[in-house]
Amino acid sequence: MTELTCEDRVALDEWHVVAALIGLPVEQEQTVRLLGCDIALRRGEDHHISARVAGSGRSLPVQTKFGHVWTSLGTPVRTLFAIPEYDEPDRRNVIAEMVPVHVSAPRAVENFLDLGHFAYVHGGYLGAEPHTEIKPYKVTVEQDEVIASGCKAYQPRASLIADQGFEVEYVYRVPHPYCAVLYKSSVLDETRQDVIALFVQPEDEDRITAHMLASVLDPTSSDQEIKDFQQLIFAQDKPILENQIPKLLPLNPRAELWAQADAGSAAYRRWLTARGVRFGTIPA
Amino acid sequence: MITLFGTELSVDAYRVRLFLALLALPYRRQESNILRLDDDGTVLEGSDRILIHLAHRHNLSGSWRLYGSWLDVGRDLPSRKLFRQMDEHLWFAEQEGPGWLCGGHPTIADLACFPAVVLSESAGVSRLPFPALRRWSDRIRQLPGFVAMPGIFV
Amino acid sequence: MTLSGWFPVARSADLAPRHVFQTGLSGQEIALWRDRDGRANAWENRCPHRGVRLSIGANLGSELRCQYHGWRFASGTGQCVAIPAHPGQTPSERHRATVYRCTERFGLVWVSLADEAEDIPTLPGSIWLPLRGMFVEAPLVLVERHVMDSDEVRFFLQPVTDQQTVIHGLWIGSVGDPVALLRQQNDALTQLRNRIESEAA
Repeated sequence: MTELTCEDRVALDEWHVVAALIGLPVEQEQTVRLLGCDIALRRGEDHHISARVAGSGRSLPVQTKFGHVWTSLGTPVRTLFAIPEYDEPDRRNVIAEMVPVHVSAPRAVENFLDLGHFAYVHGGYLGAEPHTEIKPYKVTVEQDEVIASGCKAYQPRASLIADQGFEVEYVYRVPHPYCAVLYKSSVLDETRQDVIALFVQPEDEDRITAHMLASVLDPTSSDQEIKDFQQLIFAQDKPILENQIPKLLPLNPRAELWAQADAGSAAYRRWLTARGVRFGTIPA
Repeated sequence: MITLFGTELSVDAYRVRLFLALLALPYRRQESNILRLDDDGTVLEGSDRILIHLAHRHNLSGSWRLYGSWLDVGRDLPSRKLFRQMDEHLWFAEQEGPGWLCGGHPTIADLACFPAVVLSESAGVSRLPFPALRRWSDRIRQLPGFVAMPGIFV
Repeated sequence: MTLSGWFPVARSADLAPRHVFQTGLSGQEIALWRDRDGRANAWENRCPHRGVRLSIGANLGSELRCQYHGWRFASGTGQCVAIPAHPGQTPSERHRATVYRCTERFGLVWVSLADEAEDIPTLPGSIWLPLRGMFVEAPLVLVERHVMDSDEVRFFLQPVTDQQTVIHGLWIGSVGDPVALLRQQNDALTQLRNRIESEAA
């Protein structure tokens, strides 16, 4: 008897986020969904977390990292990626809430990497007309991760503590098929960066829960204020994602049109194809 | 001076922020989980009561003040059945004039219903079968002073 | 379900200025809009860039702007004329929205998804009043069984999806008070719709 409807071996053998620790009460079973499969999560009084496939009861490996619970339905071949900044003592690590979105995980990741939508979707915050130009930036694959660097955007209100506009430099990193991390110059210290991470929980091919982590240098704002800002930005992206057709990400380069500013997403789509990821995509 | 206590992502608070913007009324904002308005000492809670108060005290022409039973409808949205009724009502209003819920011009009835209508898709209610409702949404977005909230495009 | 042929998708008056009308034929979503010179456009409701619905975009008068990256497409050809991320550049010919054939007759907007299509049906006489379109949650074959032309009214059916059909009526009889007539016909079509939907359930 097969308990899994997902046939994507590559996706099955990855670690995936399934919950934020703060959302997991003690001694209360929670059902979460991953790759089309229901999983029972339980956090014991000793804070040990267990995960079992809901039907068969098969026990799954669990790790907690970045304030979230991660599991795998297969045999992970890679360790979960690192975010060294998370452990810096003067960082604020804030978990923004989990948001369900009716779209595939790769579409959500691609939106996170996208620079051209700032003036239209996040107008007044991360962008504004007429500062819409995206100059060429560098895209490489390093140690099996997609890196886009030298990305520049003029932002009227780049972060919670920014009170004027300035040109922000971004670095994007895709260390996992359904996760992306962005690094942006800190308003307080130009030698360091604020880190925002998106961890997408691929529930079904066209349904996800988006988890976000803000790891920022900000001594003055409250956790709630940092959370509210991230949620506001994501609330602006959500209706765009839910209005994309098709919901799955087409990997064939001829399926959709390209502009030079899309170099990062082109690399991401090629990388998914090279990895053999199928869940949430329309293979080339 | 008016102080509005609310949050950016609250639909209820947005109804009030939208009316304040359309009336071009200056106000201070304070973060709060409970929606409240302090208008120079008069304190009110609940978006309906706040909309009615603002319409009476600050709208000199009185044109915004009508609402009929639409505030009640606003609370039950989104609902396919109510959307059908609203679409029919608005379609016939369009035959005879500009197409607003009450009285042939924008009123707080429109503001009370607008956010739930325009955010209905994320609540699983499609607006595809309701063309008059969609044109009405655009009409509201084109009012001078209109402000959006996350999820609503200008 | 055949995709060839002309189907009514809206009343001409439905295409309000600065509005993008969302509709569909046989599951293909369509973004319908009127430019500032009065020309009606019927496009695939999907920006060719990243697939975002054009119906949530902005009708700027002579161009339609996609809500995601602000790409602008010209009325008539659907050619992309501006990509805000690259302000100095002219988008290539390949950067265009998919355009469907669209025409207006009898106060209705007609669309054909096919390259070749037979002619739009003709009507007797020269006076007609388009009724309010009735959206029915039922398949075309079921709606067809219930809808009957008469001396005073002709019906045309629009299969939006395989479960949704719009009944477009054209009144060709005499018209006294148009609004009263529209209300009366709307009431009759509403009752018809309710009957059809309870049968479909």
